[in-house]
Amino acid sequence: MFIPGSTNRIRNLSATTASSSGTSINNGGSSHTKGSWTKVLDGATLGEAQCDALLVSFGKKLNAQSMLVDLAMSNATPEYYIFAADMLYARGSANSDMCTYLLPVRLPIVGSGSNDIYARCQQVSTSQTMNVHVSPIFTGIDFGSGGRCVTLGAISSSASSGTSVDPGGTANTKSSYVEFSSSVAIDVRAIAIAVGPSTDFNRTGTPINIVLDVAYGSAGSECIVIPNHMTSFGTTHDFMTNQMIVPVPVSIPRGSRIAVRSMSNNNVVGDRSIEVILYCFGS
Amino acid sequence: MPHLPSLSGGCAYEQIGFTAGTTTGTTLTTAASADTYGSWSQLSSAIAYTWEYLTLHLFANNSQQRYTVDIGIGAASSEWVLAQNLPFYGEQTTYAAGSNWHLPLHVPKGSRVSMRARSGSGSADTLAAYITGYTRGPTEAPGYARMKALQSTTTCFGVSVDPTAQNSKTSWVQVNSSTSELYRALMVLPGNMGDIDKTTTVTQLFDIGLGGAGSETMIVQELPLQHSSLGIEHASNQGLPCVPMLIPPSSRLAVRVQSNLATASDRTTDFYVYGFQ
Repeated sequence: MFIPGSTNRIRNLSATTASSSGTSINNGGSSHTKGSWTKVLDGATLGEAQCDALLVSFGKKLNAQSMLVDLAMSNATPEYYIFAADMLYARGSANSDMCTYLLPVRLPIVGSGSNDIYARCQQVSTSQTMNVHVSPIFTGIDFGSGGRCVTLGAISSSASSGTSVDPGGTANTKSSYVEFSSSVAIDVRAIAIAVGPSTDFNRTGTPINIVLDVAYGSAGSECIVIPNHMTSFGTTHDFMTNQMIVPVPVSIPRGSRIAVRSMSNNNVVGDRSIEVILYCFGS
Repeated sequence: MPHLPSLSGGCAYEQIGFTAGTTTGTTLTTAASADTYGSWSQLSSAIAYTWEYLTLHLFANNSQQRYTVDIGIGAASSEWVLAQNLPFYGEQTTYAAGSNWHLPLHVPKGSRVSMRARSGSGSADTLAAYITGYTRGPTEAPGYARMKALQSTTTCFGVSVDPTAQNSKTSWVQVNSSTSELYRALMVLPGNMGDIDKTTTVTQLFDIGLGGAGSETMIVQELPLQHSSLGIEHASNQGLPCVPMLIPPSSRLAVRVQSNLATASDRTTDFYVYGFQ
């Protein structure tokens, strides 16, 4: 709980107040390859031994391509422990918009050089800069989910994107499932869904509604755990909505196959596909 | 569409108001008068489970407008506002037009659930809504009893803050002079004050303060927001999702902003601040 005057508040520790922005990171030189680590949070600035969750925002990139961002803790050596991999930041060119993740990961943060937070990113471009904001949350939020984050569907070797999910050629009809994991490594208690425009940054059709089902189980016997998760796209600017990426409760046993399917009110080829990444939280 | 979990301690859900045949939701129609709520539209006559968490999905149907919506429970003509004055910016011409709101709210089994909407246009605008309710949230905590807007709800817009000096904090702008009740969690949503034609991308940092004028204590410090050029509404992309934070009764709340751009008309942001009981 918040106690006035205490350090129990929500504070963005990556802010750059001189420019009203965050900490800049760059993918640095190679296409579809993560750049160098940049410190985005110094553990010495915190008066707390651990945080209960992180609010992470990405902003201000300029070209129309998706980026994938890793977040890691590092000690003084440094050795990097990636606690959130391939976080999708997908926006349209000059219309760069922000996306925000609420990550239920409980982290020890005990001082500078011991447990600082670093970020790195990748994209198709060889030099692309974006801003990162990391705000630890200490206010007693308890996700009870074990603190592990397993990323499903990210494509980081040949591309920098999520997995394409195509609603198919019949409007308002669910597609076949696309497998995201044949056997998930943890008991999953919550899933956050990130979506992007896939490779289509210049949609020509009318604005469309797209919904996603997330399911687990063997092929042909899938059990839906998140039904009709909504997104939508415009035309001129190819924005997608719902970029407040917050975990949704599920119950999926480890070892389960996880799959995604979609449905759209628009069946125009080139306008209907999206990229999807799932962030599974559990233990 | 109820779903029973296969795991002990698992999570059941149900979805109300979704229209599969058109991939949209239940139509909400605003009053043909600016900033006035239309009639309640029923999404469910009686939900099958007790919810501790819900996701509200909104699609726009027509013109570019700032909307707000209420979720109500209870019998027709006796609706009790469970979630008050959530903002939504609708446009279906060139911009995307949808939002998901994740709200840790408790709704008893058997409740009738309905929604209503208003817009700033003065016309009878429409939007579409559906809700997914879950028997637990991503946390182990039970859902909150109610979500209330802490700023004035006279219009569809939030509290306007204008950062006139580049990269300098504004003075505090009051959101609420004295909260009427105890709130156990806080949510903050920034908007673009209806200006979707920013001339360039604007980055800003905002604070939420608690306490009397001149002695505010920051409870939210330098969270980011961004207005893109040709931008859509931003409230669904950024800000502070619902997190536990104790706001005592009779608290004064205020907000301030700094901006990388001091260009008039591009710099103004409006804020919605919500308390959860």
